[in-house]
Amino acid sequence: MGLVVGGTISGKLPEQVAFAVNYPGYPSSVSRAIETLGGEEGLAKARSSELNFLELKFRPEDPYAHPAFGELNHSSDLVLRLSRKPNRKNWRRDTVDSAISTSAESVEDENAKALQSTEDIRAEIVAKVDKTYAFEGMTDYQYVVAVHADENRGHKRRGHQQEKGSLLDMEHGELLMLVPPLFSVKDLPEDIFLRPPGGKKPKQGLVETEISPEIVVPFALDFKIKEVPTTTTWKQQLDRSSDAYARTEALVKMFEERPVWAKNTLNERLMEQEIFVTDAYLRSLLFRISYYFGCGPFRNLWIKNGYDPRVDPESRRYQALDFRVPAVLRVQSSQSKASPSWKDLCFFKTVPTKRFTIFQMHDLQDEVIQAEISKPPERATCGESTGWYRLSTIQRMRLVVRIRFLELYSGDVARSLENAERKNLSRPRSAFELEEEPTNSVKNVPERTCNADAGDGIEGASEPLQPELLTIGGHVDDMGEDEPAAKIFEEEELEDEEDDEEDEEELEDDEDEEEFEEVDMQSENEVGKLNFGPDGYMDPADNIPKNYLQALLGKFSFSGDGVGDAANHPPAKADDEEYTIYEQDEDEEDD
Amino acid sequence: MGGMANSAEEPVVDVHRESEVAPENDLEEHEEEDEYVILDLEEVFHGAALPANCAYTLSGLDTMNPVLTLGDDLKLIGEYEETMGTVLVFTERDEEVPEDERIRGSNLKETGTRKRVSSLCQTQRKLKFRLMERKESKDLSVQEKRSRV
Repeated sequence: MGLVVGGTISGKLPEQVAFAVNYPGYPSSVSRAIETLGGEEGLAKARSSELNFLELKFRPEDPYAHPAFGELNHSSDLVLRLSRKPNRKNWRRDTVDSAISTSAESVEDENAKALQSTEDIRAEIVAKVDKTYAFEGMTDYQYVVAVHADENRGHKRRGHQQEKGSLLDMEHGELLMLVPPLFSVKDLPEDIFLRPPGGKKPKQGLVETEISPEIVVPFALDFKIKEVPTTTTWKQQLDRSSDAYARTEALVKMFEERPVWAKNTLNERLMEQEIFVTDAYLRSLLFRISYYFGCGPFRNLWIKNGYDPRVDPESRRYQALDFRVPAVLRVQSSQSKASPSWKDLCFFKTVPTKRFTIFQMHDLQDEVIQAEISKPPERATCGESTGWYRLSTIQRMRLVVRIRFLELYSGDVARSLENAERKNLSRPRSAFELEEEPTNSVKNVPERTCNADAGDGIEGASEPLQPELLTIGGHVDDMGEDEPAAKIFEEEELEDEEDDEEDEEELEDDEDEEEFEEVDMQSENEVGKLNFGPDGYMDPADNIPKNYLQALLGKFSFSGDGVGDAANHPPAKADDEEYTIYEQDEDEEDD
Repeated sequence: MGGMANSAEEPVVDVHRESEVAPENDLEEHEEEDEYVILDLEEVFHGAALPANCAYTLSGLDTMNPVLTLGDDLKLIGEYEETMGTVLVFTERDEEVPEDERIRGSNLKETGTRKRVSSLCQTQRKLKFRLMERKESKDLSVQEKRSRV
């Protein structure tokens, strides 16, 4: 220990190395502090192990105490020891000296002198501190009620006696002190730099146009919906200088010209104005000013907001008319590489590459159709299946379209199909009328039910023994035998159909809207064209009410000669007949 | 050094006690008298090891800004600081583990030694040192000269 002379000591840095713990608190005593650090043993253990942290439990008696962790850091500190020791030998003399000097010197100096004179002040750097445990974490994180802490102290004592606690232990209030499974995700405080509010504002125009509440839900509407959209606020939604504004304006003009459009026609008109847009973009533009039905006579046609074609008979000329490429011709159809222009399709100059296409009657350049849509409305109301037309009219128009496209195909297959359709078309109109639903009322009965009824009417006379069976398949075709070729193809088609249906989704690589159209076509198929598809085959049977079938079966048992006969033969026969009849019906329905 | 100055009167009390208590307690009292200060050289050495066996001079202990001279020319000037919490200083030494404890001891190293930790001191006072600027050292030397004169 060097004696401090004139406030100065000198020496050599010691060899002794120590470590420091920056204890986050003011312990009542060093021994208590060491206890909280796990005792001298715990400290020694921590020092011996490879771990570079030290655990500090403020309540070492409490088994639930959440430890704070001190991390080991290198440090370059020294420990200076200062000690006072009364200088017994010189004490009296020193005091005398100091008393003498008091008069001469300032108070401060006197103190210093007194200090020096009354005791030896020794100072020494005793150790180098090369490692320090620093508790930078959130030390006071665990909230403990003093009562609990006290109680736990008692429990721990008990715990020692009972070893691992039984359930009984839990009853002594320990449950009140549930330790959270995780105290904090972060033990160390961190600086969080929050982005200043409003620093990055998205462009206003974008937000307002994209997520405007004014825009109706971009989905197809149900035909039975009560009110059609009427929003016409696109001018407020769009930036006047934007492309979208100009394009929407062009579209609005077209909608003034006519309230219902096929999207393809709109796109073609836009292209004539040298406005080129993608299909998706066109849709997004259209949704601001128009809507479309997912079903019904105007399905997939874009209708001006505020215009309800269901109440305006003038809309009959804008109804949809679909065409489905016969399965046997699809290969031919898909061979033509470039997708045909919409205009060429409407003029029947080329065949569609898509299996289903929905046209608008107004667009189709065919005399028969144009004449048909110019006639006064055939019905007083707009039905969901046929709109303002009678079923027979719709079917005639569909036949016309079919023939016009079949003409364009090459090959015998196409020819025989075409001939078959022509014969159907040349049938007297009364044949169609017969299939018509009995009244023109707007009941939303699918046509197939009507067909069944009509068939019943016809065939009831010719096959008096089993009239009900006939109704299942429909009526017997009067010219089924005349068209063997056509019939064969239809059968093939029937067989192919299932495969086709499966393939459809896989093969369909066109945009989703088309798929959507196909789905529609499917339902349409059920309605109007029983000849195509397994659904055409299945549906009539499915559609017959259960009790009706029961009644039917009841009739068998009565009409048969014996009970055994009734049980065995008629059903077999019925199956055969049903199939045959169906096939024939096929051809006729094909119209 | 304020703390020291305040306790200037204490020796009187000491004298009284000394006369009354047994001489063994003298040692205890001596221990109590010890005061420790951490000399924080972090700002200078940044955790690096301090030169071993290096001569030092610590002057100005009776002022608020003691000066630590390491070697010949490294002059550091200090400033008193209160620590956050308490600094506990421990010394440690390796201890031979007795033969009978070796097997079950989990904290043993291959060497068969273990750490023995003993408390050296606790303190809440710290002298934070920084490198002394040239101007300061001039001022100081002028002061010293004056005081000597």
